[in-house]
Amino acid sequence: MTAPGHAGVAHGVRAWDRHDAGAAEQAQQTSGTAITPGRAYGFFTDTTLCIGCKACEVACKQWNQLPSDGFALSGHSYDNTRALGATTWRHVSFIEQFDGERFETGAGATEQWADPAHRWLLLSDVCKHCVEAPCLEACPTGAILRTEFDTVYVQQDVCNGCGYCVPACPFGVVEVDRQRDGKAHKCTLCYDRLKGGLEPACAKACPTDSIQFGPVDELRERAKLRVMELRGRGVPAYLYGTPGVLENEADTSRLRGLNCSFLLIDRPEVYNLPPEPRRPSDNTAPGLLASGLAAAGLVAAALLAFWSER
Amino acid sequence: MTLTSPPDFRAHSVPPAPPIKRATWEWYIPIYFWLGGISAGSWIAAAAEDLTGGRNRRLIGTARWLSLGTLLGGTALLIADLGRPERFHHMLRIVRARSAMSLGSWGLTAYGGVAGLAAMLQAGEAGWLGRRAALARLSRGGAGRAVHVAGLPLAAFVGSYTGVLLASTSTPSWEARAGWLGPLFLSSALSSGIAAVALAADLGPGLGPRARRRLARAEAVALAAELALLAQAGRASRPLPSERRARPKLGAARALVALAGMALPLGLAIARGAGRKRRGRRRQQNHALHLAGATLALGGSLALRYLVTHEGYRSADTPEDTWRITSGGDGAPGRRPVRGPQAVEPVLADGRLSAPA
Repeated sequence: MTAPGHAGVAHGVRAWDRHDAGAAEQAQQTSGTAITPGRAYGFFTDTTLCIGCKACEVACKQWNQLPSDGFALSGHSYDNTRALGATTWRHVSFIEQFDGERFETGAGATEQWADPAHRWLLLSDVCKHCVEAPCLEACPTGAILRTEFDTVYVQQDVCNGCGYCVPACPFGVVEVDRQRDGKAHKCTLCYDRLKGGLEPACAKACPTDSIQFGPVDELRERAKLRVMELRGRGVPAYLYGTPGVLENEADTSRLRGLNCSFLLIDRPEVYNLPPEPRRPSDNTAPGLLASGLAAAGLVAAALLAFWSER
Repeated sequence: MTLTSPPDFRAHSVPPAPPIKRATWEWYIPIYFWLGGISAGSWIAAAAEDLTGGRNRRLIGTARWLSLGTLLGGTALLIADLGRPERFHHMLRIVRARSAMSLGSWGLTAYGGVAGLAAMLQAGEAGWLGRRAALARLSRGGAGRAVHVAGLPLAAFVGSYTGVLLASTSTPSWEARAGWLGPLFLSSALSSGIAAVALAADLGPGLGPRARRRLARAEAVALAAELALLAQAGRASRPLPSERRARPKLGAARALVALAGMALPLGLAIARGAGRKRRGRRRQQNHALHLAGATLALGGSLALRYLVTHEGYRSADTPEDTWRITSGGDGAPGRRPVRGPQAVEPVLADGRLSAPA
């Protein structure tokens, strides 16, 4: 019984080797970019193109073999996923904006779909792979590291589940799976696929190119063009995650930008994104300094109190 | 061209999940904050007694045992809270100055070493390592003092870093008073540590009036600082939406902690610290007050840790708190004004976005 099994495995390995060369070129074919270690990669998510199909959620779950979240209906629009988490690395937000009176008159932007009186806003949310990532800075074990693709990655063989990355993240992305393996999980930007020359599963599955994968600098150029095009059509588009570049309603400069940026047409809060995300580790050194001063004062006072009644 | 979403644009037809996640610590992590504080505070008490020439060996011995015992207990709680407790030593793989958790792990390790050393000296002094006078001399003399001095900065760090750790997160309520949590926790550590020493040392034959007064005076100083820092931390930011919403309950809880856990034991400590030459019944009463004050101070310190932690959890669950902290106009002090036209050239003749009113 063992012999055929071994033969099968061996055959499989050889087949993989043969297809490897083809796989390495796949990203070139599917996203127009080759994947080279040392370059910064990310997503540009154009929310105006999202149709809420959740193909990204499904592709992510499938490729990363993430367990199901169950089949419960949340009662919140079409959003039964609700939030990013340890087993949910893509989440499509459904934002319903319907104003009864204004719906009648139909006043609004030139583009009907962008009329704030009656529209759906859709956003496929994901780990932002911040340039200065608070989760990485908080991690005391070194489990969270920056990869050769400039993405933020949790090493599962190192993480001890202390959970400090969870409140550190300004976007509520990373989560410790206390039910299953007790370790922190989040989007890996499909690190394994990048290694093999494939674009991330969500970007590949997106049918409208709302999720675009590529080198961050190239994506930024594409994003700028798209903002200009939309503004020309009367849509108040701006970017989120590109400090100093058309980021009118937001400011992500404290994190020195996000490798996964977004194009938005309403205020960041509407999409459940903080307008000016902060870098929590900025509080560490001043906090320790203040504590040091307090310690000097308190210890001196305690010594004095003891000395006064020798 | 403006962002013309409805005036109540934050009121979705569908309320979103909170934009950030709260820390998922077990209920006993605030107990660790408390135990670590007691450890640090009792170390400072032992060092102060030793360095100022008080030389009450019972006080010093009790404080040394307390600081090691509470430290070990607290560390056990920390490890139990890990998702993978068997990997606790991964904390010592790296040093990261921007991670309060990493600094804390190293600080705890170093402090644990010093506390262990002091406990060994104490064991020698108590004769547990054989009846050798040399060991006791070492513990009472320069070696003991050197260990106390070396441990002082480490104890101060262990007593305060937990506050800095909370402040270095995206949780609005902790971030809003970032600079104050470390000093607040340190003062609470000192008051609870001294109270624990006072309680534990008085369980047996008693400390004697002078040592008791010393402790009471230091306790008064620590409690006064704690009260002042609590008030200051409260003033550091205007009330967050989560705090405004919970005002009656939260206000009552804060007032209870400040009155029963700080002001009342402060009054008792002042009364005890000032008293001289009391005898008989008065002295008996004084002793009862001593124990009551110490118990209240210990309870107040624990309640403070729970209160701060709970406020953080509530605040993380309240999206409006995050919007306050992360949007221009108000929020924590020291932020840069960001809203309005940025350094971006208008892309079209009419392409500039105007900031909403």
